Amino acid sequence: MKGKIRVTIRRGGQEGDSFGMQTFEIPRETEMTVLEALDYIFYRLDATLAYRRYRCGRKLCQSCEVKLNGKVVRGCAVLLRPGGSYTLEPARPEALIRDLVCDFDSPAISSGPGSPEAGG
Amino acid sequence: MVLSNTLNKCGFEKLDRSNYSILKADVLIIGGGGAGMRAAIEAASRGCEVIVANKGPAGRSGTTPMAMEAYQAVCFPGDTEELHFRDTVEGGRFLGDQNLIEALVTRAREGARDLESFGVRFKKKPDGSYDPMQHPGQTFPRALFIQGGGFGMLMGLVNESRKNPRIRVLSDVVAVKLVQGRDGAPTAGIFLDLKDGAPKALLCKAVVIATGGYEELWAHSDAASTACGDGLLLAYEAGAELVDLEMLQFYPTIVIHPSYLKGTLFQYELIIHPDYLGGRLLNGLGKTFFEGIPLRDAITRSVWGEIKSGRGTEHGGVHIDLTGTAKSRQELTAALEKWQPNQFHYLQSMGVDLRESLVEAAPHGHYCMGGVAVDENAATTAPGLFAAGEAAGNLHGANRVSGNALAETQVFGAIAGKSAAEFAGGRRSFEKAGAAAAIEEIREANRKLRTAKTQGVRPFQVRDRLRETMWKTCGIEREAKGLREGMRDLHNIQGDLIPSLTVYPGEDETIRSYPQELQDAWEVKMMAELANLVLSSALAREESRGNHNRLDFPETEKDPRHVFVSRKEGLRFGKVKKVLR
Repeated sequence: MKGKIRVTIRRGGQEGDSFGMQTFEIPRETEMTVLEALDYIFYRLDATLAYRRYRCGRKLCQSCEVKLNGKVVRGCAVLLRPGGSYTLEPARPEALIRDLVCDFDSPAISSGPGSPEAGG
Repeated sequence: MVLSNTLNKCGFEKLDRSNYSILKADVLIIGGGGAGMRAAIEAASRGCEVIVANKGPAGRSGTTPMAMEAYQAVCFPGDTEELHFRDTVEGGRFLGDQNLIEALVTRAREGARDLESFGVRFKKKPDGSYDPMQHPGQTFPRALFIQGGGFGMLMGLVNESRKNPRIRVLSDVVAVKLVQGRDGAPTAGIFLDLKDGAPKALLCKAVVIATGGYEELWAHSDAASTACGDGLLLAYEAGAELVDLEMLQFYPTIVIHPSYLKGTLFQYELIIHPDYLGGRLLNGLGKTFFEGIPLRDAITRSVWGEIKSGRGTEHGGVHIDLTGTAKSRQELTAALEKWQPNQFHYLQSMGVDLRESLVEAAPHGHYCMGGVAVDENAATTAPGLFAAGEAAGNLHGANRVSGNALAETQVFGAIAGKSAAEFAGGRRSFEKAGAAAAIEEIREANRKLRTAKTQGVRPFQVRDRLRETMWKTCGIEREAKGLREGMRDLHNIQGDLIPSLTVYPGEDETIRSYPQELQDAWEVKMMAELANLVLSSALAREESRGNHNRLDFPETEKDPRHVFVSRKEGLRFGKVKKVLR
């Protein structure tokens, strides 16, 4: 339906802990980024949601990466459309802390911060 | 030590018979941005064990990754340190301490060379020499261009720190308290570990505050939402003096529309300079409204004047216009790729093509010149406590010149690392005494936050109100009446709202890890205390200088004075240090 964005989020910790999918509806007439949608859910619908809010403002830092409909994207740079239904999962389930937050210190994320020239 | 739970993932030890977790290092650095990482590398090179405690993921959070590309250092034929010194003193409207400026200009080159040795790349000419930009306030082109900007710089520093086993970088730990020993120097930092939600202690012999600025106190800022000034408040509580807190630099051209691009900085220096992008800033009537390429404080006043007088754009800003440039489309594309690649690509990927459409932008809080008062050794007025980078004050004065922030992180980061290492070397042993009590205190505070209240408020509600109040009463223009209103509102916030903060009532066991709401509660408590100090400082400065515009005191005092504030002495005025060159 138009005027609403449906976002289904994988909640909980690692496998073995309790987890499940939870769906939120955001009233919205215009596009919004994944990060804006998560802000809306955290501030208006569910204070227990965990996600990384930081945005570097230039699509560089990867802090906001999540899996959107199965594909890893940067939450600051992908737009959700009114009428659409989306599924969000952690980008790196093997390093999951809770909900959508992953541990960048985890050995499971082995690549390190990357090249100093990133984005330049 | 059994590595079994998330607690041990980040290396904290559960000590025998005690009910709390501890790590220790000679030097504790709070904040893992440009200054903090440089301090860590320096202290470790002097034989110290170092812990860098970072609020978010190291290298991917905080202030530095958001910084632009400019690193100011003398490199151009004919340019001198004298001129860099003069530009910085004058650009800062004579409020910067000259002993600090002296250190900056004489060591900035060395800082850039160190960065290169860490793998950071600068834009170079084919002959291998630096290819600097010339920003307003620079007599010669002096803005060395870091590939990848602040993010690229930080990547190099993080990679370098990983080579040294003496440096341990912790992510997702929020500093909430410093514990002091009998000698008054810090013996531990207490942190909320977001990974498991528990308070932990880091024992140390010296502390470097490198937490960045406090732009988050204002409703409109282009800084990270984590820039709450928590490090400043920790220093203040530990007895250190803060300085010129009223000095918030505004940046004139931050994108305000569409909502998802709000906060993206596009450099006005490049927009309007004919050699770079050759564009214009236009008011809502489609007219230009200033001459030349003014410094940040001056152009902010011009832009604000248009908006205030009703000549703004639809969403209350001005237009960035590159469509009228004298450059061909090919030349413009090449210039954007060369000088603003990250913003250009980011905006383009979000459907905004600067070559074809106007973008609305307005002044936002951008950089905090105020901070913890330091001397040329990065020492604060509290023993064993050092500060560097944006968290420190009194270097830039009333207006920061472009490129001096990243240079500051490297020069003063290295100085702070050295000073902290020396101080730690003079202290015999770790002192565990106060840590357990401090952890209990934080646990108790967390329990209170988690207790349901009849009129409970969420942290973000308090934060939003505080930020609106600060923007309205202590923004681009200020006067006594408004500042007093701001203080009254802060009084109400602290009296009524802060005690009513409620976080996850009912102690929900499933949200022990990554307790975002709990972090928000700690942050807003600290923000409210710091906001009070900012308002008092702004009220005390009865003049207009740089970014501090008092409608009721439009004149600039002949002799510049610092506004210091400390727990012991309250507010006081102090001299600006001068040096003879």
